[in-house]
Amino acid sequence: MLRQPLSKALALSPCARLAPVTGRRYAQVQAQPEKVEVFIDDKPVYVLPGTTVLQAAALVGVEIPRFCYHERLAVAGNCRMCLVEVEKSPKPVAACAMPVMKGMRVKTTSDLTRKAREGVMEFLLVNHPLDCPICDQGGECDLQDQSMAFGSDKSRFTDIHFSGKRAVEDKDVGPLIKTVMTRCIHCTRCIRFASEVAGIDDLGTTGRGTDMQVGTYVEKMFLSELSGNVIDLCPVGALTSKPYSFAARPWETRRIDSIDVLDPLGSNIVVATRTNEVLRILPRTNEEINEEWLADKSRFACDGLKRQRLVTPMVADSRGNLTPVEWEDAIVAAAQAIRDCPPEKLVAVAGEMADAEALVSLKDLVNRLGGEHVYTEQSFPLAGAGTDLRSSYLFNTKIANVEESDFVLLIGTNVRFEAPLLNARLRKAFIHKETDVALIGPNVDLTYEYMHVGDSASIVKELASGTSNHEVLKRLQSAKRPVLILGADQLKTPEGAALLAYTQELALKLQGKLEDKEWKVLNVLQRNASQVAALDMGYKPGVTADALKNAKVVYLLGADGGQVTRESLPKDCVVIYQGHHGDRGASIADVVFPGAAYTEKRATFVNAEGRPQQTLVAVTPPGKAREDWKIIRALSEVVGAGLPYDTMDEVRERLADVSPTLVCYGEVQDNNYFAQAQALTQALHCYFAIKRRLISPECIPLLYGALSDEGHPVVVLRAALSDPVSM
Amino acid sequence: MARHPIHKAVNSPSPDTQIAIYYKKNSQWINNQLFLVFAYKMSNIAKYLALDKVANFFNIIKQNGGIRGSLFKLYRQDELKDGQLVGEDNYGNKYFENPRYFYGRNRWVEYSDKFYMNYDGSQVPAEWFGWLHYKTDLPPHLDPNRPKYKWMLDWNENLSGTTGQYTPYSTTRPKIEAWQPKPKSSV
Repeated sequence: MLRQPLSKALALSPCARLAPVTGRRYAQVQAQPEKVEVFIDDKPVYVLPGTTVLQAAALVGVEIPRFCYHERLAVAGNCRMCLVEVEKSPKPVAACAMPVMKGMRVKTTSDLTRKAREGVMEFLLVNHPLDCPICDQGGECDLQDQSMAFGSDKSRFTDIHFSGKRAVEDKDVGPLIKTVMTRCIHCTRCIRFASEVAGIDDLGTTGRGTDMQVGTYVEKMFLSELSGNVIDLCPVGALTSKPYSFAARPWETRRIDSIDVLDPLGSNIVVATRTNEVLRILPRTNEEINEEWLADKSRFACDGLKRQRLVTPMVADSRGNLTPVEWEDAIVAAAQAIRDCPPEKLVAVAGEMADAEALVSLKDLVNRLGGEHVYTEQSFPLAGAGTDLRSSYLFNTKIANVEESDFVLLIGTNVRFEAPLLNARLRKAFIHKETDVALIGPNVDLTYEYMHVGDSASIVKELASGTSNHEVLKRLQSAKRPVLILGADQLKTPEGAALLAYTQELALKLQGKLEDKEWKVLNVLQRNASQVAALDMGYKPGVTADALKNAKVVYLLGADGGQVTRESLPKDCVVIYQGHHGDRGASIADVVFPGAAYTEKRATFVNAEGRPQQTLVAVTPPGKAREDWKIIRALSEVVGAGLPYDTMDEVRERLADVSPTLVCYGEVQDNNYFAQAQALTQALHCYFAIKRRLISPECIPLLYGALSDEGHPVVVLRAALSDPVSM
Repeated sequence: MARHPIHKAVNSPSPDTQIAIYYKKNSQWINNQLFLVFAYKMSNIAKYLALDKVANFFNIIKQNGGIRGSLFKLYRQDELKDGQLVGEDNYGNKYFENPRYFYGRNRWVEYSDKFYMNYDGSQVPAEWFGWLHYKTDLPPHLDPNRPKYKWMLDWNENLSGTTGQYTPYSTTRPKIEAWQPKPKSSV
């Protein structure tokens, strides 16, 4: 059995390879060339000229074995496993590289084909070690599977006493990828991935024939934020996951489909668990978000879910030391504080990994008590339309459609760091399409060439007013599908409002001239997984110092961003922290409620596009930890303001009441109030000179040890990084 | 008692007939014997009326510290016995023997008062174990052959189920490492 499911193999043809539905809507309708008829095992199939034999075979459900061929990478044609017999051809041909010709008759089950496969397999196995029992790829190895399906039934290998098998020195490419290079079959998928998708041309081959080796030439780390994907790509066990090494076999694990919350994109993942323990996280194909890739942060942060966890409710004793207590005591202590607090002094702050159910419960609780102070940690300018219009804070173009764009202007965002898979899309568009990218902000390495416009925010103003004589303005104006991507981190500062306003103005001007009226120009790239859901339900972005100064009770829902500190609060303020990791929030808290992490609850997260997706329960929350909305529901009862929902379905009904978009799972609703948003902003006359230089985070690929504990913005990751020994 | 020649008889008549013959032959002597037995029993009239049991009872009460003491011991040990104190070990346990009780019940230990109700068999030290379980009739202080060295460890009772119990440390990592809050300064 091949690793690619048939459904994926069926989508091999070039047109289906692009993102379906939404992605294709904007594609130009080109005159389709006439289809040619080919015969696969005497079954006729009509395909476009240029289709390869392998793709044509997939269309009729014939799967041709392959090692080097990968639908998202360039065709290499060097493994020879896909040899098939073609009538009137003197030799068998490589199906992955051979374009179809009219009337071609392909025989995939003929004796010649079978013999060719057996021969290739024999050659591969001559130099492949027999270490399947100790190989981490065992059970999910393409070589294993295909040698069972297409290999010879007996061995002619007697050379073991003469020259023996080829032995290759292992390469050290960093702490994430384990290499056993003797197992390498030279498919070069990793090399092609590194240079095509990741944009890091570090991997390559040295030597020829038996002496050929895949490696980095000189010993160096594979410094890419997408490096983990070569583990999935490797058809054998040459590249495996170091943290997962010798941990489990694939048939022992349970796989639960879920959503990643460590970056704003909401990549689709599969959580592999065994004995109530998350063992690894793999990507799940979603053409509209992550294709089949996954960023290293999402993939390797899962061991952070096992450390620094809050496993029991805690209440501060008379000395201020947090001591473990029962749920009842903690809830009563918190309820007492909330009851004694006047509603205008109750402040709730939601952190970066709060799910929509918990967010709506917390907001309902505060509102029922008469309070209005519900905030998120990430700020967003409130001048003008603020967060009232959804289009102002979403990634409106949608991730997949970025590929269709012809000019992308990044404003103050290091996409490679903030959303690695979006950067991979931009790179893909840059390489395979006519997309050009320009950047306003620090001159960072985005893995592809871009036009650096400058790092001053005033450039946006000049572009919006049309006074700029930079080339980028002409490019934007002439673009058929321009895209502006504004980094949400730039909106934190007082000048953020102006920056947003000018960006909105520029986007609106560009949009007005477009032929494609459906095309969205303005995008704000949020920094975390909870912000969009929180803003959708009316959380105020960015907790203010004034609100904190007068607070008597502060309820932190996973707020670990460091916005709320003891110094910013009055002395007698009671801090209630609810979350899954003990970090900044929990260490200033008086009452701690242990919540569930994203692998431990069924919860809704809305990604930067505004696409709600749900995580599923892969493991149970540790110790006494509970699902977050349930904690708030229980607390509301004791406070005396019982929330009117008892089940997950009822919470989601409530979510639908607040905003129907929050429960349209997997769908993105179009937003069209760009003009209104801009008009509201303009009416406020908030425009003023902006001269600030934009700052964006340096692109540091995730590497254990390279980052300090405190430096990283994501809690789970901080926990993972705090203990490098476990790696 | 001398064996009667009847036991040696071969080809003798049935036992009943034999007894009848025997009685006929010796009736005078047997009657005398029976009378003697009766007279002896009558002479221990106190015993005949079970008055010795009463005496034992009072003796037990007396030995166990009067009525209050006896009630306490009965409550603590579910049993009251009289016996000779054979010895006492280093931990205050007292060992008793009374051959009047049958074998298996005639040696016992009264645990030291400091154990109160929490006594158990492991509080008997090794040197008394043998005597208590009839491996030897010599209590440790009377047995000259017992080895005694400086390096011999003191007896330890079994601490299972208490806070002092031995717990082997685990070599596996906990699946979830809990967060330990930093203690605030106690000032």
